[in-house]
Amino acid sequence: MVSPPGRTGNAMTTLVCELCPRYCAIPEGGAGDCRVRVNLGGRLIATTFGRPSAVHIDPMEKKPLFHFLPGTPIFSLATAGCNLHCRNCQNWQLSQRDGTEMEVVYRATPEQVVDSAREQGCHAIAYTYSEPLVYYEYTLETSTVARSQGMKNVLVTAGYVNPEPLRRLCRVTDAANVDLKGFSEAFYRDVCGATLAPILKTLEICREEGVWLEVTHLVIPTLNDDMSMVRAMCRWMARALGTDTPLHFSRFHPQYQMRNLPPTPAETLLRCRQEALEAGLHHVYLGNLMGTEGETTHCPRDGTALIRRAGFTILENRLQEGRCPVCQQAIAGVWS
Amino acid sequence: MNGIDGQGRDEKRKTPERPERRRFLLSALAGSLTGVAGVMPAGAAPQERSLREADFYTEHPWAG
Repeated sequence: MVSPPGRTGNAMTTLVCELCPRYCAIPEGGAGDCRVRVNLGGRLIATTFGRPSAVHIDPMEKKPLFHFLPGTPIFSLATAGCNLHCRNCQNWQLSQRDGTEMEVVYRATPEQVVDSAREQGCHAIAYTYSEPLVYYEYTLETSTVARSQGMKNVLVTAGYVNPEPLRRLCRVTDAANVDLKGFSEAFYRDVCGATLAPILKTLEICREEGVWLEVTHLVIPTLNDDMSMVRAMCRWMARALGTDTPLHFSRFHPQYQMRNLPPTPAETLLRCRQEALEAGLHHVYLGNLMGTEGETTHCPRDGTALIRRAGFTILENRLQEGRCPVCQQAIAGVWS
Repeated sequence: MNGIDGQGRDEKRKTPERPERRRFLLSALAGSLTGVAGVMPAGAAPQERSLREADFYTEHPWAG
């Protein structure tokens, strides 16, 4: 049921997990870097399958997805574990633990998750908070059941996964918000314990597979707020993902192992947004920062304010069947 | 590329002897064989609950 894409390694009892670029060689009784994929008796087991530790109903805007069913609730779940180890992780109590370290684990088969989501009036399920790619089998199976019942699936992910399992998951995924945490290998190595190239590949694959894609970039003072890096990232996005791909710059707050840095100044976020607009991106938003133009969706043709937000709340939505009411420009997104 | 020092991950890997971890892992194996998740013995940590017991609308600290 939960055998992941693994193969037997050289040692008799060692398994190599091929889910993500780490290719963890897992001895019997041991766990991969994600803590939740273990070798039990020569079988690779995803220990958190059917065992989420967080289940909530959030606004779609919280994911954040601004161009996907705006103003609707989304059933959101997560299990323990992550294959990145970001020093600034906001959800470290969930992501940097294995299933045994959680206070509460819910018993929830994929069918029960879908039933609960429907009972709560949700038309979409988000696999989020920690890293849905390390509880891959649970995400895939739940998404398959949800899709078969007409529900939509959303990934909120750091995107550190191999192409083959990602493409399989994309077939039942409707939208994704992928963190692009920095635009240098050094940043991913030093802050996240990972590498950049697979993340860029993930973004390209999501685009190729027709998944609605939005990107989040958390701006951390002194670590990834260099404007030349921001500019390069935005230019790459415009070229590789298209200028209609929404980009969310998010404000950093000190936490976990990175309490020595201050919150991101508002001016820095505004400069980032300006760089992105100059790079040609049409939809650039600012998260964790209220009261700016970075909360509003504008028509890329005539500048009309189309969706005004305050935090996760929609104040006004002027879209008419996905189009600007003034110039009839079609606005990229999934609106109904 | 095994991550960053000081995050306790190595220590985690050295503790398969912990009885609660062993029970959790064994129950995961049982779940994988039977298709029924959640067969952990009563009294072991973490506390397992039915999804029906979840308060979906409670405030939470999680980003994303």
